[in-house]
Amino acid sequence: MEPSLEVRDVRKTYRGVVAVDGLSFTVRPGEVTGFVGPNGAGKSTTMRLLLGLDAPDHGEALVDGSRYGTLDRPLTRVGALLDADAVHPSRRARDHLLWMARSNGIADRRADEVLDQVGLAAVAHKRAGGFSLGMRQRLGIAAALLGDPPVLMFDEPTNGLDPDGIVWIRLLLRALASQGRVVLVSSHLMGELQDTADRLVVIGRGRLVAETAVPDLLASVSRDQVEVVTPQRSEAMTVLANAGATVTVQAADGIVVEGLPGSEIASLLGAAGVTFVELRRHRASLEEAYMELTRGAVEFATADEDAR
Amino acid sequence: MSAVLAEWTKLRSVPRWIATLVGAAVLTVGLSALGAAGGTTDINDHPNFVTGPDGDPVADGFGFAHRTVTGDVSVTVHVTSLTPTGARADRGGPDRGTVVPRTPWTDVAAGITLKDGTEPGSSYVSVLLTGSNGVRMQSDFTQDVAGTPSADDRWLRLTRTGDEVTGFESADGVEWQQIATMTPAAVPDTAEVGPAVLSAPAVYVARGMGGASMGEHPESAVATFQDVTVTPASDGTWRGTAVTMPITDDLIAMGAAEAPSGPVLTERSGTYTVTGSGKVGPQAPDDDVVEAALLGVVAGLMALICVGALFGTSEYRRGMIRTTFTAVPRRGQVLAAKATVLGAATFVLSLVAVVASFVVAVPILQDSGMAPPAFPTPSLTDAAVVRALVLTALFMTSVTLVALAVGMLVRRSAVAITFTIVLVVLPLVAGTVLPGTSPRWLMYTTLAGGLATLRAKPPTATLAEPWALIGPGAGITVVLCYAAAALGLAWWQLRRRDA
Repeated sequence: MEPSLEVRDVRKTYRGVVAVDGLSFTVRPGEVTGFVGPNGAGKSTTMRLLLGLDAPDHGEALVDGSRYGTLDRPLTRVGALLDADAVHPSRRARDHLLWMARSNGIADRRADEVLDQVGLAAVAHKRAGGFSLGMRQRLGIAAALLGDPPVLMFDEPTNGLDPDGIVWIRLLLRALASQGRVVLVSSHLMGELQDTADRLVVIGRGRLVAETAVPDLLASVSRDQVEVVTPQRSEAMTVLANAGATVTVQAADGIVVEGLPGSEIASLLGAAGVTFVELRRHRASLEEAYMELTRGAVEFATADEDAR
Repeated sequence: MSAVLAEWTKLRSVPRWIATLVGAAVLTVGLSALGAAGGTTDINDHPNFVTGPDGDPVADGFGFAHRTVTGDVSVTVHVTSLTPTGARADRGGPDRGTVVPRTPWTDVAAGITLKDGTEPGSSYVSVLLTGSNGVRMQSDFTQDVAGTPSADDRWLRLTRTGDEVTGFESADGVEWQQIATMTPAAVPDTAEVGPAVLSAPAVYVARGMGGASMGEHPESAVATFQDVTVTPASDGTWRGTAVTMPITDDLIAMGAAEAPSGPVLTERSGTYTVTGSGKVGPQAPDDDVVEAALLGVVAGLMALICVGALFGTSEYRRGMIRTTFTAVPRRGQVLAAKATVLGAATFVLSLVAVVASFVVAVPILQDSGMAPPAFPTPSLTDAAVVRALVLTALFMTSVTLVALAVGMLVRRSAVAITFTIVLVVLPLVAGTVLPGTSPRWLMYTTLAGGLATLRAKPPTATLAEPWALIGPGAGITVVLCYAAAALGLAWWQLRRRDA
């Protein structure tokens, strides 16, 4: 059976506060799926529901089509990094992995293998209490990889990692996906996922905002825009606005033009004698796309409240 | 099974827990030794007992109408009356405290005794009609077999054939029923036999406010015997002897008791009237060498409670319980594995600790006076000692499991540790202060009752320690119930709550 993560119409409230509200999505293998939303959007809650740690009030959260609690040797089916701090500070890194391995009938040597894989082999016999956040993050990733599971879930894995670590984890995530695994990575920073994720599940206020491929999302946001860098910004804006374009200021010497093709902009500016240094197609960032999407979510939520 | 292995790896890999577990064992032994060295007793220098045939402390005082017989013999009497006189009647009961109920060994009684001479502590066998415990057959201060519960006048018979002595009773002297056959340790071929009258002193106890005191009022009784026959008929005369304990003399010398007055035996036209005072039976002090050698358990228990609670609450520090439940989603299995691992580790360590305490502390206690004959040397092979050691280890284990379960329930170390310790210590303090037998219900309902497992001797109300009020079986049952209830509650909560 193909590995998968699936959330079906899940609702969860904590003491009357809605954390997840009718959420449904499916994560497919072979891709890195980014799970994004602002803080408090319900990302961690959804992950806890998938791991059977919390029980949904309604709906189902399934791993490979089954509830997590019914899995045999679950660490060989799903690996998860939820909280890098969830290690007893007095325990040696290797012992932390050993008890997990033994609970699932995984060979002890896997502990050494994954420690090696995450670059903690040298501190395998050091107590976790002395680890930096980055080291604990790596230990948590080692724990997720322990059972060589086809499904992996990482909650904010780049927290506390140095730039080298961030590059390392991006490569790791891509490698895991290319091996045909299900990889779900949550983040509240869209930019982090820009070069990593293939698909995105975007949630806001516990609801699904978008479930889409990254290129499609970018295309939907990047309308035909052209960036112009010019020392004569106000002149350029006048000329282009008169020609019917929408012009916005982007930086000290830059403007973004919408509604005119690049060639026409060049000839208009040339005809008006306005010099420009650079003219290029504007590429929307994932960050902008995300802002666009979540703004919609907020508006939707507000409208919803008004309707009541 | 794999969950058990995982929990064992968890327990083993936190050095502080292992250190505390071993520390609990060391603390138990150390404090047991210290406690043993702390007190002295001089009971062997001022004994209230004599030494029985097997070297144990016994009481042996009664009125004895006897003649010398040799070889096989059968003696029959008809006890026509048994009347307590003396202290109890005269003084109207003890001055204060609670009267200890009369047991078959501390009753008023009349019957037949066959004895090696008239020295107190010598081997004997008796068949007796008691005031409140029916008909009994007793031998050598240890054996006691009940006959009918009759309190009416009774025919009694004692028959010796070789080494064996058989007791009979009858309501009418015609229909006889056998009570038992006993072989006393050292009644020689030529022995004394005849009517005997016992009247154990009334014992009152006052306990509470941290101490206990015991008082005895010597008492006497008079009984009449008719149809006294000895078969084969032997010549010789009946002599009356007051078999007397040295302690009785001491009390009389101090003016604390009245000397028995009048003759032991009078006879008028076949009716023999015998007056007796004293008790025939075991006279071991209620203090317990085994218990005294294990008192460090209370200290070790505190350390064990800490480990137990932390083994549970540490899961809730930093959300480690999520990792645990991710690895083993069946939460009941996690709790069962935790309890199994912690229970096994605690039981092994506790058993080692209590055996070591016993081995170390008993010689120290003997040096400070808890020695034979008042306190026979306990051996690791005595059934009562084995029971005390094993149950004490089980008690320590159960309390540790209660701490674990409370830890899983409240998720906070300080709260879990305090709560469990209070459950042990508070009833102890209250029970030591509360008077009489009133703390018994406290012992039946709290973890402190588990300390009853320390005792190798039967329960008693004559000691300051409240746990001596209940037996070890009741004590261990209480703590096992607590452990089962706490674990059950934790299991129910684990399944119900989000992690």
